[in-house]
Amino acid sequence: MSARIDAVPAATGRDWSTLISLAAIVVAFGAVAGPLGALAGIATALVGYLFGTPYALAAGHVALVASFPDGIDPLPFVIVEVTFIAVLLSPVPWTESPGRITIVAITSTLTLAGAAWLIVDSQSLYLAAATVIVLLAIATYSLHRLELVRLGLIPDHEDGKQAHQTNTDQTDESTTDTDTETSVKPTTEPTTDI
Amino acid sequence: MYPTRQGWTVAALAVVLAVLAVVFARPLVLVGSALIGAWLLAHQYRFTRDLKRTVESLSVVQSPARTAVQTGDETPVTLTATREAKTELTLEVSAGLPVAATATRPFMVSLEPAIEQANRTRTVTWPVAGRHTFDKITVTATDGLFRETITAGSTPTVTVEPPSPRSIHVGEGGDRIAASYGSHESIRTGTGIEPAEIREYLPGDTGKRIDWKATARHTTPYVREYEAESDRRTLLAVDHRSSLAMGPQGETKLEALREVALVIAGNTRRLNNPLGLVTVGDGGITSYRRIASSTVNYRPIRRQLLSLEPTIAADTPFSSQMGTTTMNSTETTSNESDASQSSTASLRTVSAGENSVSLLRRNTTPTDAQRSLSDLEGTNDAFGQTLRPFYSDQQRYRERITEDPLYGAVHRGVTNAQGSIWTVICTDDSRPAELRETVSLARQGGSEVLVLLAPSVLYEPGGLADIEQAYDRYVEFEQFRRELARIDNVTALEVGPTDRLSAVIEAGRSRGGHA
Repeated sequence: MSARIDAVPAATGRDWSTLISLAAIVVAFGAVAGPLGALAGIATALVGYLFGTPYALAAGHVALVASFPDGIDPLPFVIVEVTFIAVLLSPVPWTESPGRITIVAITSTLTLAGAAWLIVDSQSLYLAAATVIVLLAIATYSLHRLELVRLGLIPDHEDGKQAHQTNTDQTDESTTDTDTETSVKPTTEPTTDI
Repeated sequence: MYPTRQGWTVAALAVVLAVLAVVFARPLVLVGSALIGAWLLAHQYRFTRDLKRTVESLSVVQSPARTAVQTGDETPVTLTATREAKTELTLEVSAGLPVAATATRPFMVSLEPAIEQANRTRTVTWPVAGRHTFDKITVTATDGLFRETITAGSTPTVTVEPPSPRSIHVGEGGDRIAASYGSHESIRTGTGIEPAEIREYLPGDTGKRIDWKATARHTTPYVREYEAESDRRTLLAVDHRSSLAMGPQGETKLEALREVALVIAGNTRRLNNPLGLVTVGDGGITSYRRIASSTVNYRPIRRQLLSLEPTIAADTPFSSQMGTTTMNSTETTSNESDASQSSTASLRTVSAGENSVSLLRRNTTPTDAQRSLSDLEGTNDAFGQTLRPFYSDQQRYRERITEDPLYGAVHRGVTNAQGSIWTVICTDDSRPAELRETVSLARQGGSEVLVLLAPSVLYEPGGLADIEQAYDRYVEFEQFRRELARIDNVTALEVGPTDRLSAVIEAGRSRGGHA
């Protein structure tokens, strides 16, 4: 894969909805954590603007921990997380199927975060973190398989075996053709028969 | 679907946040990890949907300008990609060039998200003969986070012909010989199916050979003769010395002679006649296959013929001398009825700067030398004593001839064959003396000889630059060919490119001459 394709800025969004959502983060941080929080919000928005949404989410949560060293109350938490979700969903309206993608995004968020929340309540944080990563891996692989099935890129076992056999036959045939054409052609087109 | 480097980075970011949550014992950071995971899943889902829409609306075509080319040809191939649905995916479309095709630069075209159609034309070289089928077009789609590669499009086939003379003339004096099919005629009579004639009964004929109906008509015993059925044992003697390399690529003397030899070999197989092959290089015999059933010999002989390449010239002063004589001399042949008394006088003009010297050289055949020596045996005068050593040199002449590769090859083939055979000699006109001796050797014992001669004038690069001179040289060749054809049981045919021969003949016609 060339560097050109990797350079497609799919992870960054600079449309007006993203900018508004980043501004909302600054406001939310300022509202729940005061001037210091506003500063953290500005840093988060800047990271998001420059490097993209995932980095904004990562930087925002690190900044949130720094802003609330003794723990965060539910209300400020909800306010800030809503703005983060707004950042997450900001590019969705410009897609071909915003409804489905929104459902996938919110469902994923609730599932991953909910699973983490439930496990943290009863089990260790280590197990919760592992659960989030494992769930994410399973979901990603499931989507990968879904894509293969929808595009017909995954033959079933029997067909696959047969297809392989057919390909081999075709290869053999083409090789023979090459050989034959190379050698037979001159004799099949004589201009004079003696 | 595979993550790109950027996709892996985002996934790693989620993992790092999860680790940070554990390290700092802050579940809040784990929420960030979950959000990044959700963002990644949303984009993955979006990629899946975009890819499906793209594939459904994508049209990719790879079309070669020609589907039949010759080896080494260059032909443009156009790759066109059209996408009707608007998606955020960038497509890289790569042509499925066959392995045997080469393009100077990578053959691909990119479709950016805002672009609906793109095409590109590249010049592709075809160095390998055969039927080459394109692979399917490879389409790589990416949104920057994920990528997927699929194959699509048609798979055209290009037939690459090996280099071979496009049209070969085989004939006499510019006229093509008539094509013949079926069995060859046999002069002899004997046991067979086809009735030949009836004749009167002679003492010694068996009673069952009497044709009673003819006997009843003529009142005297008559015997019916039948055409003898016999196999025509064919020996191909193919010369592939360095002089046979003359001519444009793929249309050399050897290529043309090879084609005709292959046709003869094919006919021999069709008629189930025995077939043998001897090939001659500059160093002597390069391969020899004794005459045997064509069922056994045809395929190996065909392979051998197809693999023949001109050898590199060795230092053979005699051969080169004869060759030079042909190229630069005007030969006249006496038309005496007795072939053994014929002699060849060569008038050669050697140019050396501004001076030119004319030399008259007399080529004496072994028969001449032997006769003259026997005439001189009984004389003891000064004349005889002076000339006798020169004619004694005939043995040395014979040795030189025997050392000639073509003569040696035919000698071996004829000696081993035992009995009457049909010898087909494929060579050029660069060594007339050697060829004369070879033909006379091959026709010994009543054997028939077919000489396929490639005229040098029709193959030389720039040989037709001076068409008048080319015609004169062709006339010289034609005289030599007729000289050979006049010999009993010998057929001499010219083998050359039709277009060049036509040009030479046309030049002769416009000049009022005839070949």
